[in-house]
Amino acid sequence: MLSSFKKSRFIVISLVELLLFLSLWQLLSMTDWFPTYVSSPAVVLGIISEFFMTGEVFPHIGISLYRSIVGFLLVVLFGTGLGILAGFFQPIGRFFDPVVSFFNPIPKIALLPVFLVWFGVTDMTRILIIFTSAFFPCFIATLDGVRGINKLYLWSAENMGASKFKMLYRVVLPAALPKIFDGWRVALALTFVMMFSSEMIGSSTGKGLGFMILNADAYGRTDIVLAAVIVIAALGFLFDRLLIGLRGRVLWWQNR
Amino acid sequence: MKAIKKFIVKYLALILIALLWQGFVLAELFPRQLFPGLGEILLVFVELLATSDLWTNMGVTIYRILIGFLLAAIVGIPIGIQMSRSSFIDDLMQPIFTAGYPIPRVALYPIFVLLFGLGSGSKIFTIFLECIFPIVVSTYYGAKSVNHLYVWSGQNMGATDRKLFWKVFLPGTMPSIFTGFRIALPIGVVIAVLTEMISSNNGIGYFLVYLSATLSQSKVLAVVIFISLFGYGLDRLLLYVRNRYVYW
Repeated sequence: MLSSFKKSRFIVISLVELLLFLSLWQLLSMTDWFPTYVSSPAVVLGIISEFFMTGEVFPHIGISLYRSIVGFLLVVLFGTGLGILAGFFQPIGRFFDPVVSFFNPIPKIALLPVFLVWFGVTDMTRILIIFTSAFFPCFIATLDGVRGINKLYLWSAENMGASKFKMLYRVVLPAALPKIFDGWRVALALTFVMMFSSEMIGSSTGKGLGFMILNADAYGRTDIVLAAVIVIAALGFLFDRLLIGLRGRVLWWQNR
Repeated sequence: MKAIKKFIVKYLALILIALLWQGFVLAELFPRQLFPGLGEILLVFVELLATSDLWTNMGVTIYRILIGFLLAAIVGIPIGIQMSRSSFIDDLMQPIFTAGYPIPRVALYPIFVLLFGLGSGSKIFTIFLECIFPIVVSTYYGAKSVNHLYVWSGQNMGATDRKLFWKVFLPGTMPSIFTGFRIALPIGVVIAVLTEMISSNNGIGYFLVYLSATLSQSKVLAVVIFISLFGYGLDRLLLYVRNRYVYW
Protein backbone atom coordinates (compact mmCIF):
# COMPACT_ATOMS: atom_id res chain seq x y z
CA MET A 1 0.00 0.00 0.00
CA LEU A 2 2.72 2.35 1.03
CA SER A 3 4.78 1.54 -2.01
CA SER A 4 1.92 2.24 -4.41
CA PHE A 5 1.30 5.54 -2.65
CA LYS A 6 4.99 6.37 -3.01
CA LYS A 7 4.89 5.37 -6.64
CA SER A 8 1.95 7.58 -7.52
CA ARG A 9 3.54 10.48 -5.63
CA PHE A 10 6.71 9.91 -7.64
CA ILE A 11 4.76 10.04 -10.90
CA VAL A 12 2.91 13.19 -9.85
CA ILE A 13 6.14 14.94 -8.92
CA SER A 14 7.76 13.93 -12.22
CA LEU A 15 4.83 15.24 -14.21
CA VAL A 16 4.76 18.51 -12.28
CA GLU A 17 8.47 18.99 -12.89
CA LEU A 18 8.08 18.23 -16.57
CA LEU A 19 5.20 20.70 -16.87
CA LEU A 20 7.18 23.36 -14.99
CA PHE A 21 10.14 22.85 -17.28
CA LEU A 22 8.00 23.02 -20.41
CA SER A 23 6.15 26.14 -19.30
CA LEU A 24 9.41 27.85 -18.33
CA TRP A 25 10.80 27.01 -21.75
CA GLN A 26 7.62 28.28 -23.39
CA LEU A 27 7.69 31.54 -21.42
CA LEU A 28 11.37 32.11 -22.16
CA SER A 29 10.87 31.44 -25.85
CA MET A 30 8.17 34.08 -25.97
CA THR A 31 10.56 36.73 -24.71
CA ASP A 32 12.74 38.45 -27.23
CA TRP A 33 16.17 37.81 -25.80
CA PHE A 34 15.85 34.07 -26.10
CA PRO A 35 17.39 32.92 -29.40
CA THR A 36 14.80 31.73 -31.88
CA TYR A 37 16.69 28.56 -32.73
CA VAL A 38 15.87 27.18 -29.30
CA SER A 39 12.30 26.98 -30.57
CA SER A 40 9.43 26.47 -28.15
CA PRO A 41 7.58 23.48 -26.71
CA ALA A 42 4.39 24.41 -28.52
CA VAL A 43 6.13 24.39 -31.89
CA VAL A 44 8.00 21.17 -31.14
CA LEU A 45 4.86 19.42 -29.93
CA GLY A 46 3.09 20.61 -33.03
CA ILE A 47 5.80 19.06 -35.16
CA ILE A 48 5.67 15.80 -33.24
CA SER A 49 1.92 15.52 -33.72
CA GLU A 50 2.42 16.40 -37.38
CA PHE A 51 5.01 13.59 -37.57
CA PHE A 52 2.48 11.09 -36.42
CA MET A 53 -0.47 12.53 -38.36
CA THR A 54 1.30 12.43 -41.70
CA GLY A 55 3.05 9.21 -40.79
CA GLU A 56 6.33 10.38 -42.29
CA VAL A 57 8.19 9.53 -39.10
CA PHE A 58 7.17 5.88 -39.00
CA PRO A 59 9.70 4.58 -41.54
CA HIS A 60 12.46 6.39 -39.59
CA ILE A 61 11.29 4.97 -36.28
CA GLY A 62 10.90 1.54 -37.84
CA ILE A 63 14.38 1.37 -39.27
CA SER A 64 15.98 2.80 -36.11
CA LEU A 65 14.12 0.36 -33.92
CA TYR A 66 15.00 -2.50 -36.25
CA ARG A 67 18.71 -1.70 -35.88
CA SER A 68 18.62 -1.28 -32.13
CA ILE A 69 16.41 -4.26 -31.42
CA VAL A 70 18.37 -6.65 -33.62
CA GLY A 71 21.56 -5.40 -31.95
CA PHE A 72 20.05 -5.74 -28.51
CA LEU A 73 18.71 -9.24 -29.14
CA LEU A 74 22.11 -10.35 -30.41
CA VAL A 75 23.64 -8.95 -27.23
CA VAL A 76 21.08 -10.75 -25.10
CA LEU A 77 21.68 -14.00 -26.96
CA PHE A 78 25.49 -13.95 -27.03
CA GLY A 79 26.23 -11.82 -23.99
CA THR A 80 23.98 -13.73 -21.64
CA GLY A 81 24.62 -17.12 -23.20
CA LEU A 82 28.38 -16.84 -23.22
CA GLY A 83 28.31 -15.13 -19.82
CA ILE A 84 26.47 -18.05 -18.26
CA LEU A 85 28.75 -20.60 -19.88
CA ALA A 86 31.87 -18.65 -18.89
CA GLY A 87 30.64 -18.30 -15.34
CA PHE A 88 29.57 -21.90 -14.96
CA PHE A 89 32.36 -23.79 -16.71
CA GLN A 90 35.70 -22.64 -15.37
CA PRO A 91 37.83 -23.41 -18.44
CA ILE A 92 35.51 -21.35 -20.64
CA GLY A 93 35.70 -18.55 -18.11
CA ARG A 94 39.48 -18.62 -18.18
CA PHE A 95 39.38 -18.64 -21.97
CA PHE A 96 37.28 -15.46 -22.07
CA ASP A 97 38.99 -13.51 -19.28
CA PRO A 98 41.82 -12.06 -21.40
CA VAL A 99 39.36 -11.22 -24.18
CA VAL A 100 37.32 -9.15 -21.76
CA SER A 101 40.29 -7.35 -20.24
CA PHE A 102 41.72 -6.63 -23.68
CA PHE A 103 38.63 -5.57 -25.62
CA ASN A 104 36.50 -4.05 -22.88
CA PRO A 105 38.57 -0.83 -22.47
CA ILE A 106 38.33 -0.06 -26.20
CA PRO A 107 35.84 2.77 -26.70
CA LYS A 108 33.81 0.89 -29.31
CA ILE A 109 32.68 4.04 -31.03
CA ALA A 110 36.26 4.48 -32.24
CA LEU A 111 35.79 1.26 -34.21
CA LEU A 112 32.99 2.82 -36.24
CA PRO A 113 35.32 4.22 -38.94
CA VAL A 114 36.98 0.81 -39.15
CA PHE A 115 33.67 -0.97 -39.62
CA LEU A 116 32.54 1.67 -42.08
CA VAL A 117 35.49 0.89 -44.30
CA TRP A 118 34.99 -2.85 -44.01
CA PHE A 119 31.25 -3.12 -44.36
CA GLY A 120 30.25 0.20 -45.89
CA VAL A 121 27.36 2.39 -44.82
CA THR A 122 25.05 -0.53 -44.15
CA ASP A 123 22.84 -1.83 -41.39
CA MET A 124 25.52 -4.47 -40.83
CA THR A 125 27.96 -1.78 -39.70
CA ARG A 126 25.44 -0.18 -37.37
CA ILE A 127 24.24 -3.41 -35.82
CA LEU A 128 27.83 -4.50 -35.37
CA ILE A 129 28.79 -1.30 -33.56
CA ILE A 130 25.68 -1.59 -31.37
CA PHE A 131 26.55 -5.19 -30.64
CA THR A 132 30.21 -4.57 -29.78
CA SER A 133 29.28 -1.66 -27.50
CA ALA A 134 26.54 -3.39 -25.57
CA PHE A 135 28.04 -6.89 -25.48
CA PHE A 136 30.58 -6.38 -22.71
CA PRO A 137 28.34 -4.82 -20.05
CA CYS A 138 25.87 -7.66 -20.57
CA PHE A 139 28.56 -10.35 -20.61
CA ILE A 140 30.32 -9.00 -17.52
CA ALA A 141 27.09 -8.58 -15.53
CA THR A 142 26.04 -12.13 -16.38
CA LEU A 143 29.46 -13.50 -15.49
CA ASP A 144 29.38 -11.68 -12.15
CA GLY A 145 25.88 -12.94 -11.50
CA VAL A 146 26.79 -16.55 -12.18
CA ARG A 147 30.05 -16.41 -10.25
CA GLY A 148 28.27 -14.82 -7.29
CA ILE A 149 25.75 -17.64 -6.90
CA ASN A 150 25.73 -19.21 -3.49
CA LYS A 151 27.77 -22.41 -3.90
CA LEU A 152 25.37 -24.23 -1.59
CA TYR A 153 22.65 -24.11 -4.24
CA LEU A 154 24.96 -25.67 -6.79
CA TRP A 155 26.20 -28.32 -4.42
CA SER A 156 22.74 -29.32 -3.29
CA ALA A 157 21.55 -29.53 -6.90
CA GLU A 158 24.55 -31.65 -7.74
CA ASN A 159 23.96 -33.75 -4.71
CA MET A 160 20.39 -34.43 -5.72
CA GLY A 161 21.64 -35.70 -9.03
CA ALA A 162 20.78 -32.82 -11.33
CA SER A 163 22.42 -32.97 -14.74
CA LYS A 164 24.63 -30.09 -15.89
CA PHE A 165 21.91 -28.87 -18.20
CA LYS A 166 19.27 -29.03 -15.52
CA MET A 167 21.53 -27.15 -13.13
CA LEU A 168 22.06 -24.40 -15.68
CA TYR A 169 18.38 -24.09 -16.35
CA ARG A 170 16.91 -24.59 -12.88
CA VAL A 171 19.57 -23.13 -10.60
CA VAL A 172 22.09 -20.93 -12.38
CA LEU A 173 19.72 -19.01 -14.63
CA PRO A 174 17.16 -18.03 -11.97
CA ALA A 175 19.83 -17.20 -9.41
CA ALA A 176 21.79 -15.00 -11.80
CA LEU A 177 18.75 -13.37 -13.37
CA PRO A 178 18.68 -10.19 -11.23
CA LYS A 179 22.25 -9.40 -12.28
CA ILE A 180 21.49 -10.37 -15.86
CA PHE A 181 18.62 -7.90 -15.93
CA ASP A 182 20.95 -5.17 -14.64
CA GLY A 183 23.27 -5.96 -17.52
CA TRP A 184 20.40 -5.87 -20.00
CA ARG A 185 19.32 -2.45 -18.76
CA VAL A 186 22.77 -1.00 -19.27
CA ALA A 187 23.00 -2.71 -22.65
CA LEU A 188 19.63 -1.34 -23.72
CA ALA A 189 20.59 2.24 -22.87
CA LEU A 190 23.86 1.81 -24.78
CA THR A 191 21.96 0.34 -27.71
CA PHE A 192 19.97 3.54 -28.13
CA VAL A 193 23.01 5.78 -27.79
CA MET A 194 24.88 3.77 -30.38
CA MET A 195 21.88 3.60 -32.71
CA PHE A 196 21.71 7.37 -32.66
CA SER A 197 25.44 7.91 -33.09
CA SER A 198 25.95 5.36 -35.83
CA GLU A 199 23.16 7.01 -37.77
CA MET A 200 24.59 10.47 -37.19
CA ILE A 201 28.11 9.58 -38.28
CA GLY A 202 27.70 6.84 -40.78
CA SER A 203 24.82 7.83 -42.95
CA SER A 204 24.74 10.34 -45.71
CA THR A 205 21.59 8.93 -47.20
CA GLY A 206 18.94 6.69 -45.80
CA LYS A 207 16.47 6.54 -43.01
CA GLY A 208 16.54 6.55 -39.26
CA LEU A 209 16.00 9.02 -36.45
CA GLY A 210 19.67 9.97 -36.21
CA PHE A 211 19.74 10.66 -39.92
CA MET A 212 16.59 12.72 -39.55
CA ILE A 213 18.33 14.87 -36.93
CA LEU A 214 21.41 15.24 -39.11
CA ASN A 215 19.32 16.24 -42.09
CA ALA A 216 17.16 18.74 -40.17
CA ASP A 217 20.29 20.17 -38.55
CA ALA A 218 21.81 20.76 -41.97
CA TYR A 219 18.76 22.79 -42.97
CA GLY A 220 18.77 24.68 -39.68
CA ARG A 221 15.40 23.26 -38.64
CA THR A 222 16.07 23.03 -34.92
CA ASP A 223 12.40 22.43 -34.23
CA ILE A 224 12.57 19.19 -36.19
CA VAL A 225 15.84 18.30 -34.46
CA LEU A 226 14.23 18.77 -31.07
CA ALA A 227 11.14 16.83 -32.09
CA ALA A 228 13.27 13.89 -33.28
CA VAL A 229 15.36 14.06 -30.09
CA ILE A 230 12.18 13.86 -28.04
CA VAL A 231 11.00 10.87 -30.08
CA ILE A 232 14.34 9.10 -29.43
CA ALA A 233 14.19 9.96 -25.74
CA ALA A 234 10.62 8.68 -25.51
CA LEU A 235 11.59 5.43 -27.24
CA GLY A 236 14.55 4.94 -24.90
CA PHE A 237 12.32 5.57 -21.91
CA LEU A 238 9.55 3.31 -23.23
CA PHE A 239 11.85 0.36 -23.85
CA ASP A 240 13.45 0.75 -20.45
CA ARG A 241 9.98 0.62 -18.90
CA LEU A 242 9.19 -2.49 -20.94
CA LEU A 243 12.34 -4.16 -19.65
CA ILE A 244 11.51 -3.21 -16.06
CA GLY A 245 7.98 -4.52 -16.55
CA LEU A 246 9.39 -7.78 -17.85
CA ARG A 247 11.71 -7.92 -14.90
CA GLY A 248 8.81 -7.52 -12.50
CA ARG A 249 7.03 -10.41 -14.19
CA VAL A 250 9.96 -12.76 -14.36
CA LEU A 251 11.53 -11.87 -11.06
CA TRP A 252 8.33 -11.82 -9.05
CA TRP A 253 10.08 -13.48 -6.11
CA GLN A 254 12.36 -10.47 -5.71
CA ASN A 255 9.60 -7.99 -5.00
CA ARG A 256 8.02 -9.86 -2.14
CA MET B 1 58.93 -24.37 -21.00
CA LYS B 2 56.30 -24.61 -18.34
CA ALA B 3 56.05 -20.85 -18.16
CA ILE B 4 55.52 -20.61 -21.91
CA LYS B 5 52.80 -23.22 -21.77
CA LYS B 6 51.12 -21.42 -18.94
CA PHE B 7 51.29 -18.18 -20.88
CA ILE B 8 49.76 -19.78 -23.95
CA VAL B 9 46.94 -21.34 -21.98
CA LYS B 10 46.19 -18.10 -20.20
CA TYR B 11 46.06 -15.96 -23.33
CA LEU B 12 44.76 -18.67 -25.65
CA ALA B 13 41.80 -16.61 -26.84
CA LEU B 14 43.89 -13.58 -27.74
CA ILE B 15 46.47 -15.71 -29.50
CA LEU B 16 43.74 -17.42 -31.51
CA ILE B 17 42.25 -14.06 -32.51
CA ALA B 18 45.67 -12.78 -33.56
CA LEU B 19 46.34 -15.94 -35.59
CA LEU B 20 42.95 -15.71 -37.23
CA TRP B 21 43.61 -12.09 -38.12
CA GLN B 22 46.99 -12.87 -39.62
CA GLY B 23 45.44 -15.82 -41.44
CA PHE B 24 42.97 -13.46 -43.08
CA VAL B 25 45.80 -11.14 -44.05
CA LEU B 26 47.92 -13.92 -45.51
CA ALA B 27 44.99 -15.38 -47.40
CA GLU B 28 44.54 -11.94 -48.99
CA LEU B 29 40.78 -12.18 -48.84
CA PHE B 30 40.66 -8.43 -48.49
CA PRO B 31 42.96 -5.80 -49.94
CA ARG B 32 45.96 -5.08 -47.72
CA GLN B 33 45.04 -1.45 -47.51
CA LEU B 34 41.74 -2.25 -45.84
CA PHE B 35 42.85 -5.17 -43.72
CA PRO B 36 46.43 -4.60 -42.59
CA GLY B 37 48.52 -7.12 -40.73
CA LEU B 38 49.09 -6.81 -37.01
CA GLY B 39 52.80 -6.12 -37.46
CA GLU B 40 52.05 -3.24 -39.78
CA ILE B 41 49.55 -1.78 -37.31
CA LEU B 42 52.12 -1.91 -34.54
CA LEU B 43 54.70 -0.27 -36.76
CA VAL B 44 52.29 2.51 -37.69
CA PHE B 45 51.38 2.87 -34.04
CA VAL B 46 54.99 3.49 -33.08
CA GLU B 47 55.40 5.92 -35.96
CA LEU B 48 52.24 7.70 -34.95
CA LEU B 49 53.51 8.25 -31.42
CA ALA B 50 56.26 10.41 -32.86
CA THR B 51 53.91 12.70 -34.79
CA SER B 52 52.60 15.92 -33.32
CA ASP B 53 49.16 15.47 -34.93
CA LEU B 54 48.28 12.73 -32.52
CA TRP B 55 49.39 14.57 -29.42
CA THR B 56 47.81 17.94 -30.20
CA ASN B 57 44.49 16.29 -31.00
CA MET B 58 44.73 14.07 -27.97
CA GLY B 59 45.51 17.07 -25.80
CA VAL B 60 42.30 18.76 -26.89
CA THR B 61 40.32 15.61 -26.19
CA ILE B 62 41.88 15.10 -22.77
CA TYR B 63 41.09 18.70 -21.88
CA ARG B 64 37.42 18.23 -22.82
CA ILE B 65 37.09 14.94 -20.97
CA LEU B 66 38.70 16.25 -17.81
CA ILE B 67 36.73 19.50 -17.66
CA GLY B 68 33.42 17.74 -18.37
CA PHE B 69 34.19 15.01 -15.87
CA LEU B 70 35.34 17.39 -13.14
CA LEU B 71 32.25 19.56 -13.57
CA ALA B 72 30.08 16.47 -13.31
CA ALA B 73 31.91 15.44 -10.13
CA ILE B 74 31.73 18.91 -8.56
CA VAL B 75 28.02 19.24 -9.27
CA GLY B 76 27.06 15.59 -8.95
CA ILE B 77 28.58 14.64 -5.59
CA PRO B 78 26.82 17.35 -3.53
CA ILE B 79 23.54 16.59 -5.31
CA GLY B 80 23.85 12.90 -4.51
CA ILE B 81 24.69 13.55 -0.87
CA GLN B 82 21.97 16.13 -0.37
CA MET B 83 19.46 13.77 -1.99
CA SER B 84 20.27 11.16 0.59
CA ARG B 85 19.88 13.65 3.44
CA SER B 86 16.74 15.59 2.70
CA SER B 87 13.59 13.86 1.52
CA PHE B 88 12.48 17.12 -0.12
CA ILE B 89 15.52 17.26 -2.39
CA ASP B 90 15.20 13.53 -2.91
CA ASP B 91 11.61 13.96 -4.13
CA LEU B 92 12.68 16.82 -6.33
CA MET B 93 15.69 15.18 -7.96
CA GLN B 94 14.72 11.52 -7.98
CA PRO B 95 12.45 11.78 -11.07
CA ILE B 96 15.18 13.54 -13.03
CA PHE B 97 17.75 10.91 -12.27
CA THR B 98 15.59 7.80 -12.46
CA ALA B 99 13.32 8.72 -15.32
CA GLY B 100 16.09 10.54 -17.16
CA TYR B 101 18.57 7.71 -16.87
CA PRO B 102 17.49 5.63 -19.89
CA ILE B 103 17.14 8.66 -22.15
CA PRO B 104 20.05 8.96 -24.60
CA ARG B 105 21.31 12.41 -23.70
CA VAL B 106 23.87 12.53 -26.50
CA ALA B 107 20.95 13.02 -28.87
CA LEU B 108 20.81 16.58 -27.59
CA TYR B 109 24.30 17.24 -28.91
CA PRO B 110 23.16 19.04 -32.10
CA ILE B 111 21.22 21.47 -29.90
CA PHE B 112 24.28 22.08 -27.73
CA VAL B 113 26.28 22.83 -30.82
CA LEU B 114 23.85 25.63 -31.57
CA LEU B 115 23.94 26.87 -27.99
CA PHE B 116 27.66 26.61 -27.26
CA GLY B 117 29.22 26.54 -30.69
CA LEU B 118 31.28 23.96 -32.50
CA GLY B 119 34.25 24.29 -30.15
CA SER B 120 34.89 22.65 -26.83
CA GLY B 121 31.80 24.06 -25.08
CA SER B 122 29.24 21.77 -26.66
CA LYS B 123 31.43 18.72 -26.16
CA ILE B 124 32.19 19.53 -22.54
CA PHE B 125 28.52 20.04 -21.82
CA THR B 126 27.54 16.72 -23.41
CA ILE B 127 30.29 14.93 -21.47
CA PHE B 128 29.14 16.65 -18.29
CA LEU B 129 25.56 15.59 -18.86
CA GLU B 130 26.46 11.96 -19.50
CA CYS B 131 28.94 11.73 -16.62
CA ILE B 132 26.75 13.29 -13.96
CA PHE B 133 24.13 10.54 -13.98
CA PRO B 134 26.29 7.62 -12.81
CA ILE B 135 28.09 9.90 -10.33
CA VAL B 136 24.87 11.16 -8.72
CA VAL B 137 23.29 7.71 -8.61
CA SER B 138 26.22 5.95 -7.00
CA THR B 139 26.89 8.85 -4.60
CA TYR B 140 23.23 8.72 -3.59
CA TYR B 141 23.24 5.02 -2.81
CA GLY B 142 26.62 5.31 -1.10
CA ALA B 143 25.51 8.20 1.11
CA LYS B 144 22.30 6.35 1.97
CA SER B 145 24.34 3.56 3.45
CA VAL B 146 26.56 5.79 5.58
CA ASN B 147 26.17 4.48 9.09
CA HIS B 148 23.65 6.60 10.98
CA LEU B 149 25.69 6.30 14.14
CA TYR B 150 28.44 8.39 12.57
CA VAL B 151 25.96 11.07 11.56
CA TRP B 152 24.32 11.09 14.96
CA SER B 153 27.57 11.26 16.84
CA GLY B 154 28.75 14.02 14.55
CA GLN B 155 25.56 15.96 15.18
CA ASN B 156 25.79 15.21 18.86
CA MET B 157 29.23 16.74 19.04
CA GLY B 158 27.84 19.86 17.46
CA ALA B 159 29.00 19.54 13.87
CA THR B 160 27.42 22.04 11.52
CA ASP B 161 25.87 20.93 8.25
CA ARG B 162 28.91 22.06 6.34
CA LYS B 163 31.20 20.19 8.67
CA LEU B 164 29.00 17.12 8.50
CA PHE B 165 29.30 17.18 4.71
CA TRP B 166 33.09 17.44 4.65
CA LYS B 167 33.92 15.29 7.64
CA VAL B 168 31.27 12.58 7.66
CA PHE B 169 29.36 12.22 4.40
CA LEU B 170 32.12 12.85 1.91
CA PRO B 171 34.64 10.40 3.43
CA GLY B 172 31.91 7.88 4.17
CA THR B 173 30.69 7.95 0.59
CA MET B 174 34.09 8.08 -1.07
CA PRO B 175 34.23 4.37 -2.05
CA SER B 176 30.86 4.61 -3.80
CA ILE B 177 31.85 7.88 -5.41
CA PHE B 178 34.86 6.17 -6.92
CA THR B 179 32.60 3.41 -8.22
CA GLY B 180 30.61 6.14 -9.94
CA PHE B 181 33.81 7.69 -11.28
CA ARG B 182 34.87 4.38 -12.77
CA ILE B 183 31.58 4.16 -14.63
CA ALA B 184 31.54 7.81 -15.65
CA LEU B 185 35.08 8.22 -16.94
CA PRO B 186 34.91 5.62 -19.76
CA ILE B 187 31.56 7.14 -20.75
CA GLY B 188 33.30 10.52 -20.87
CA VAL B 189 35.95 9.12 -23.22
CA VAL B 190 33.32 7.57 -25.48
CA ILE B 191 31.24 10.75 -25.60
CA ALA B 192 34.29 12.90 -26.31
CA VAL B 193 35.32 10.71 -29.25
CA LEU B 194 31.73 10.45 -30.44
CA THR B 195 30.95 14.16 -30.40
CA GLU B 196 34.24 14.94 -32.08
CA MET B 197 33.40 12.43 -34.77
CA ILE B 198 30.01 14.00 -35.40
CA SER B 199 31.28 17.52 -35.85
CA SER B 200 34.60 19.02 -34.95
CA ASN B 201 37.81 20.32 -36.39
CA ASN B 202 40.13 19.00 -33.75
CA GLY B 203 40.35 16.28 -31.16
CA ILE B 204 41.08 12.59 -31.46
CA GLY B 205 37.61 11.74 -32.80
CA TYR B 206 38.11 14.20 -35.63
CA PHE B 207 41.56 12.73 -36.23
CA LEU B 208 39.99 9.27 -36.58
CA VAL B 209 37.43 10.44 -39.12
CA TYR B 210 40.10 12.34 -41.00
CA LEU B 211 42.37 9.28 -41.19
CA SER B 212 39.46 7.11 -42.17
CA ALA B 213 38.62 9.46 -45.02
CA THR B 214 42.14 9.00 -46.36
CA LEU B 215 41.50 5.24 -46.28
CA SER B 216 44.56 4.45 -44.21
CA GLN B 217 43.03 1.68 -42.19
CA SER B 218 46.26 0.79 -40.39
CA LYS B 219 46.51 4.33 -39.03
CA VAL B 220 42.88 4.26 -37.91
CA LEU B 221 43.46 0.99 -36.08
CA ALA B 222 46.62 2.39 -34.51
CA VAL B 223 44.64 5.38 -33.20
CA VAL B 224 41.99 3.00 -31.87
CA ILE B 225 44.73 1.17 -29.98
CA PHE B 226 46.03 4.48 -28.69
CA ILE B 227 42.59 5.55 -27.41
CA SER B 228 42.07 2.16 -25.78
CA LEU B 229 45.40 2.39 -24.01
CA PHE B 230 44.48 5.88 -22.90
CA GLY B 231 41.13 4.71 -21.52
CA TYR B 232 42.81 1.79 -19.80
CA GLY B 233 45.45 4.06 -18.30
CA LEU B 234 42.80 6.47 -17.04
CA ASP B 235 41.00 3.64 -15.27
CA ARG B 236 44.27 2.42 -13.72
CA LEU B 237 45.03 5.96 -12.56
CA LEU B 238 41.62 6.18 -10.91
CA LEU B 239 42.18 2.85 -9.16
CA TYR B 240 45.60 4.03 -8.02
CA VAL B 241 44.21 7.27 -6.61
CA ARG B 242 41.47 5.36 -4.85
CA ASN B 243 43.82 2.86 -3.28
CA ARG B 244 46.24 5.57 -2.30
CA TYR B 245 43.88 8.12 -0.80
CA VAL B 246 40.72 6.20 0.07
CA TYR B 247 42.52 3.73 2.24
CA TRP B 248 39.69 3.18 4.70
